[in-house]
Amino acid sequence: MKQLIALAWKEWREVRWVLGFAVVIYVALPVIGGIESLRMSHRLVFEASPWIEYTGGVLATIVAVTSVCRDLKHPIAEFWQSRAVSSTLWLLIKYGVGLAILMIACIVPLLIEEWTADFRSNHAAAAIIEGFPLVWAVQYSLGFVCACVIRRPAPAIMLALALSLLVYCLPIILPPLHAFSFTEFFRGIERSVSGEGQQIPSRVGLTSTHRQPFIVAAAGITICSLVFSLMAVGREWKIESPQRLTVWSMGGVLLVLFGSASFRLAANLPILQSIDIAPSGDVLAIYSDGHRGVAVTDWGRDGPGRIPYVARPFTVVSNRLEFGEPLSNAKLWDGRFGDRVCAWLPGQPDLFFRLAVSWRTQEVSLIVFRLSGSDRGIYKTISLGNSYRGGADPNLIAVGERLYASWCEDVNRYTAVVIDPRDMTHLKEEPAPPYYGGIAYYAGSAGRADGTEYVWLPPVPVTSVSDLLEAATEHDGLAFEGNSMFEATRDSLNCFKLLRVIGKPSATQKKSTAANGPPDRRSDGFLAQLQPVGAYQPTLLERFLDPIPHQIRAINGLVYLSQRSETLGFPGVTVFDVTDPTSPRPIGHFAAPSDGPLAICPLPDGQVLVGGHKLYQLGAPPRHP
Amino acid sequence: MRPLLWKEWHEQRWKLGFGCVVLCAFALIGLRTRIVSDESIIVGTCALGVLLLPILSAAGLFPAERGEGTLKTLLALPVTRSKLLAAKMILGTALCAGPLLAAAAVSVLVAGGREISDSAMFAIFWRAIASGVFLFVWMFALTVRSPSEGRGAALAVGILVCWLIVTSGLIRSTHIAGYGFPESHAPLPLWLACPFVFVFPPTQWATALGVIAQGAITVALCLVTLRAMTFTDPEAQP
Repeated sequence: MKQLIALAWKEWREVRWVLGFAVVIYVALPVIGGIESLRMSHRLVFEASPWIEYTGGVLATIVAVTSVCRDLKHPIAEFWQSRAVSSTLWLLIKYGVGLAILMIACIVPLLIEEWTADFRSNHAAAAIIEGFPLVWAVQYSLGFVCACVIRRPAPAIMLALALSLLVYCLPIILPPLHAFSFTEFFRGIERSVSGEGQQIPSRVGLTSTHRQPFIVAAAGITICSLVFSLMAVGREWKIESPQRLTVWSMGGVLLVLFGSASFRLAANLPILQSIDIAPSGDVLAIYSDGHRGVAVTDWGRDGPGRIPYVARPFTVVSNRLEFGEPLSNAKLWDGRFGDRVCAWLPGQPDLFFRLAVSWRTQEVSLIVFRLSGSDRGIYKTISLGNSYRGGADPNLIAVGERLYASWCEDVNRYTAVVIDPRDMTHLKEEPAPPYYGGIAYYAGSAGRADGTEYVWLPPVPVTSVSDLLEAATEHDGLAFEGNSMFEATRDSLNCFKLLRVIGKPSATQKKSTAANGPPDRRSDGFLAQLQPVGAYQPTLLERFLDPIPHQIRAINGLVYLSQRSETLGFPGVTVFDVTDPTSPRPIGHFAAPSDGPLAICPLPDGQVLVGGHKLYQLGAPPRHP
Repeated sequence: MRPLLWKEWHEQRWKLGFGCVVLCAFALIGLRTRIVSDESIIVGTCALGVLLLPILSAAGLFPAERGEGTLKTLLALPVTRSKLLAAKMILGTALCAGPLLAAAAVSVLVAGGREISDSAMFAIFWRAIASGVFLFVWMFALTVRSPSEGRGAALAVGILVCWLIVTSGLIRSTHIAGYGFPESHAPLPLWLACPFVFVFPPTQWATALGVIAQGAITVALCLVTLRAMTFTDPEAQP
């Protein structure tokens, strides 16, 4: 017993610097921050959790490695061998004392934060106290085993950090290991802690079934590492030349992680053709029916001061795009509203339409461009009145062979105009159904009732349900095909079955109705009642990239989704197979350089046109049985 | 000179192999899988090389000799110190440039002209090589007195961090001053001393000025290194 106490005292003397470190970094710095907040907001806020969350694991590794390497150095190792002390005993004491001091150093500041934070709703400290000790124990154990095998601090720390990286990242990358993900484990704890409010964190769900795999894995790694450490020291296993091993291990780990992540997100859509957009612009929008089309581009940063936009008409000949003469005009595009105010009709392929609104003069006009022939340029400007009052976005929607223009006239009123481009001299103006907001408003959810979703549809004066749904597909975030609707969010791709379209325009629509549950068909506008049938839940890796949906298009049982990663800033296109809407599957991916999200235009034969710095014609994605 | 080069080559060639494997694999995986644009992958490969290779090569030259106690023997050889310095500089430069050149070749073979032209790809790699080599010169000169490879690596990391902070400060100051990026405007004098001056595509005359300034700095740092190439026997001290 005396020997045990002596060994514990020795370890305490050697590892107590960790407490000093904790006092400086985890207590003193948050106190300084707290004094700052006291001066700024007259409230003392002690926040140690960010420091501990980000440095606790590294500290665990350093503590383990330095404590082991000190005693396994050349003369001291021989000293220990000459003593009548079992190597297992002193290693176990070293392990236990080091881990205990580490936990005290990390948890006590968190307890102080939790104690002082009772008036706030932020329970980050509670979540960390519940979730992180397991991770620190794993990292401590990995550092311990690396130090026992390598016996030199710097290489051992690097190797231990590389192993920790694997433990942390592999479950994110490889779907079979998702259950062992610390990210998911910690997310669950955060949810439960915030949901339980002031409840004592230690009572919250450590035994929940979905957290058990990680707990078991962490315990397994810890115990195995400890056993291997004891065996390595007892049997004198050590690596003589650790530098190369360490460097190659670090490189190997990085490549394994990068390679696994890359092949999980690999692009598999073949490039059939890529067309340069001279001189350095981006494709802003693409319109095509599979035979003809037009791509609208800008001139990029290298262009002249006032950017003249360019419309590039093309025809699809023998499966390749052939471009005609480009039309350059500053009025082709409106950066505020983008493709919401632009339209192209397959029946009038030589024409391009843009709805122009002016804040200053309140004038609304439809600009018609002729894309080919000797009179290329602005063919006609049709004044639609002086009633633009700002508010919701103006919209120009192409359905069938007609155009529907709408803009906000007043807070509760907007105007919709139907335009038949076959007869430019005769514009049919429909009476304005007064709604709150513009058409864009109607693309949103209208609430839920009885397990079904209600979605606003554009209140355009169309004659059939299919035209109404086609109009709805003009909006970002929604796509219809047949009886299915697809909605892209940051968290998932949701599939719905269309049950019915109900309601008709009314003069009493209020926004509050939309937010509060089931709509009333007597007073609400066009609504689609939808049954949720399936959803694609992104993998952890995809969630890490945090894709923001930009455009969604559905055609022939495929959903094309243009996204931009919030985390990395890169745009990409993902193709989902939705032939079975109950289980949508990603089957294609493509990434290309662009200053903004990629513009997409799927063609009837499964090919897709994608616009970034270049215009890409991509082959159909592989369909799996 | 040849025996010196042979010695350095035999000691350092595994690092060259390591750098080539890691950078080529990174470029190959990224360009084959196309998770992001080709340019992003190439810039990522270059960033990895510029951040990793100078540290790896600088720490393995003089600090490693000191750590293993072989510097005394090396200095006792009947060769001038400038030749020793030249041999190590040549190997260090090769360690920085070789893997990036290999990655450039892989990139051009896999994705040349696909999204960006071959010449644009090579331009990115050349800029990375220039930055990596000049960063190596700083690290090589300032780690020459480090007593071990570990400390040399730590010092090299410190130098890298310092230059990164200076570079970010320069970028911020040029923005604040309204000069914009150095690509289209007159570079500040401190830009010319910064090893990362070539990372941002500068104008031709700025490139020429940068090369002259970096050349002068390299010569000065080599002189510093020559003066610091001494061995003090710890046991001989009172």
